[in-house]
Amino acid sequence: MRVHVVFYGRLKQDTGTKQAVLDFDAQALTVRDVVDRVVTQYPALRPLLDTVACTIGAELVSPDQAVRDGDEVGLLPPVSGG
Amino acid sequence: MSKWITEAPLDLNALLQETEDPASGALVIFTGTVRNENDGRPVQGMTYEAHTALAEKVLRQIEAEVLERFPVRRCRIQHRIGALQLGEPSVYVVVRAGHRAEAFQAARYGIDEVKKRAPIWKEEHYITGDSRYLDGTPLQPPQKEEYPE
Repeated sequence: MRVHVVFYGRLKQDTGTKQAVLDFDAQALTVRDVVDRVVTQYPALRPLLDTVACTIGAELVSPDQAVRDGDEVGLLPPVSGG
Repeated sequence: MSKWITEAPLDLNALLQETEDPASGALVIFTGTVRNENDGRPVQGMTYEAHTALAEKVLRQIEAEVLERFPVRRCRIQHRIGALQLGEPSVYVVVRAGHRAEAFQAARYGIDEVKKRAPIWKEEHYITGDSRYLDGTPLQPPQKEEYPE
């Protein structure tokens, strides 16, 4: 399975990239699995995880949400619009 | 141009036209603009970034909530993204109502919710040449009743 991960706001600075493409062997995958892989690859994110929200497409999703092949998973730090 | 999130300069006149309503006797407009300092540091500009698809949904939802929760007749919210200069408007909340009290309350609710819930981030650029992302409010885990399909 291939998952596209997009980093928003300060997470782009913390990872040094806007996005990552991750490949998984697993048949079933959750958002939590994707986040686990992301922090393995980008350890700087680990201390921030408590405040990071996740999306699939235009939906905010819980860590238990299933991820499908080709999904775009967004990692969103605390928001500061206005 | 998108109705809720736009890279183009915000057009207040367009929003006023869109919300025209002869039965409204009160019009409250909130706008946020780029300030020239923060925490004592001189600022020269701001870059706004959004998760556009989700942000549009959230702003639409907040407009609907404003109309549900307050006795107001019109509400439009628009947020700009991209590089903004000092003084430029970053957001408009436009509310029209029969009377002023509910229009003020509703506009206040609208901007407060935008700041808490819209997936938008500011990166502040200082005259010293460096920049930083501002701290913000963590988004809450999904609650289906809050973001209905």
